[in-house]
Amino acid sequence: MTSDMSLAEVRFRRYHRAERLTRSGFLFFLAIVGIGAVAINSGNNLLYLVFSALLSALIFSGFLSVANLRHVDVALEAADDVIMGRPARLVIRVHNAGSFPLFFATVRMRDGSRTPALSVPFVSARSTRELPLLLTMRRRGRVTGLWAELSSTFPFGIVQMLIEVHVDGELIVYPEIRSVALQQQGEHGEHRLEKARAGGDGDFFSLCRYHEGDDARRIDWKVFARRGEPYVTEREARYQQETLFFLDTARAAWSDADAFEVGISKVASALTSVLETGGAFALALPGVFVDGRERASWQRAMEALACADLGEGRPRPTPVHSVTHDQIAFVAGAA
Amino acid sequence: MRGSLDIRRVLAFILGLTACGFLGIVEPWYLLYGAAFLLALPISGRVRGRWARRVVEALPLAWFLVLVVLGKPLFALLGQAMLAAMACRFVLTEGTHDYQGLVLIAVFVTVLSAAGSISVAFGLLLLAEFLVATLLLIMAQFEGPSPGLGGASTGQLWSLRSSRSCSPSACLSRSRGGP
Repeated sequence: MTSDMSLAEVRFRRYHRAERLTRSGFLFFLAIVGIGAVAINSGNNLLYLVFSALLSALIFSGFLSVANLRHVDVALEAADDVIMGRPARLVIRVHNAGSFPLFFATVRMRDGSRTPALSVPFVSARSTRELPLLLTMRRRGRVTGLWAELSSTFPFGIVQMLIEVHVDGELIVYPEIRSVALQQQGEHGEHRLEKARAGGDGDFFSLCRYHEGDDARRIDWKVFARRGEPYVTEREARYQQETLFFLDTARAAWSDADAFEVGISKVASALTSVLETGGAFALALPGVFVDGRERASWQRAMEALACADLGEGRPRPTPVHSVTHDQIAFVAGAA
Repeated sequence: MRGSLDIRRVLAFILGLTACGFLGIVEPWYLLYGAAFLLALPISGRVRGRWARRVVEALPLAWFLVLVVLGKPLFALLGQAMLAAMACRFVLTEGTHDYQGLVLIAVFVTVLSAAGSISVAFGLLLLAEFLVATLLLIMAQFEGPSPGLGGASTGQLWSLRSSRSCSPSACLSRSRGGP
């Protein structure tokens, strides 16, 4: 629930209902009015009976319509990575917390786009129904505070009851990904940063003091004897080639917000390209550093890019061996 | 659904018979219109082709004009025209609106009957009609074909509707590929 919304407004929107006569309902309503007029005019008891029965049906329908949509909650969850501009697989959870089943409901997200309405034919009392939804998000970033429109024509299809419900859950929309080409640079034509790291099973890398929890088999006993305190041997990990991307978020580094968005999209696209080729990558933003070569790292990097905003301060110097958005070009004509 | 009867069609058929019953209270020979519903039952919802549908749609109007030419009284004119309209609508029934239209015509037939009878049978038929119309209006809101009476129960109807959309777990497992 958004914090800038007053409690009264929240309550109003949570329980706000709107009713609308359907086309058939309008005809029924006209029929009821007509029958009522004829009954009063003629004084026919059977017509009064029909008239009162139809009115009762209308009132009964109203009660059932209200009961049908009470205690219904909607939550949204991503079933896959949500990438700006691409249809994303989402899951809508319709939870019926009440003791009355939910019939013939339609759920439509109110996100400003033309989202298709999802049909929920039946949700039994105190149960949840999951519905898949394909949604194309037009902006990157964290999406919260969505509202959904829940409507139903239960029981007779003559009155459509409609309520607005707050959608629980949040989405992180990754920046737009397009085909890109990294401009060649360097002696070997690559922006690769080779570095040695401890922690592998390669050659000797260094010695460091023994700490509780270290593998006792790695204690160098000769050094222990010489220095009087335990040291463990660290061996070198395999050489790893890593493409380091750098994105400056200082406002002064960009001509305008659109240029920043294009820059983010370029970096996100290049990161994805590196992941797809099986290479290692690293992403450096002010205050954020993510590296790796697996999908989880890619997701962390994309989340960082999704949530990146322009900030104040001076542009930072570009790290050595890093790739910036200037060195990434969109491939024309590619999707 | 060619091999079995749709629950909604059966309810619409019973509603048609009830309408015939209402007018049958006033003029018993109107019960013969029940035969039209009986004949319409096997072909209900199966009339394809634009011209075939137009012919069926034009039948009530043609029948009404024939009755006008024959100089029938107003009650007979309206009653028979409405029963003919109901039978033809029953033949052409496809979606929710068609069933709602059927119920609306049935209500008009009831009103017409109320103008010409003071029988206890009217009350019994009214109860039957309200019961059938209520069920029909609820069942009519299922889009697409519903299971037939031959092999499926209402419980299976719910499960059929629940399993129509793809399972999100399946979507989830499918989406664990590359970005």
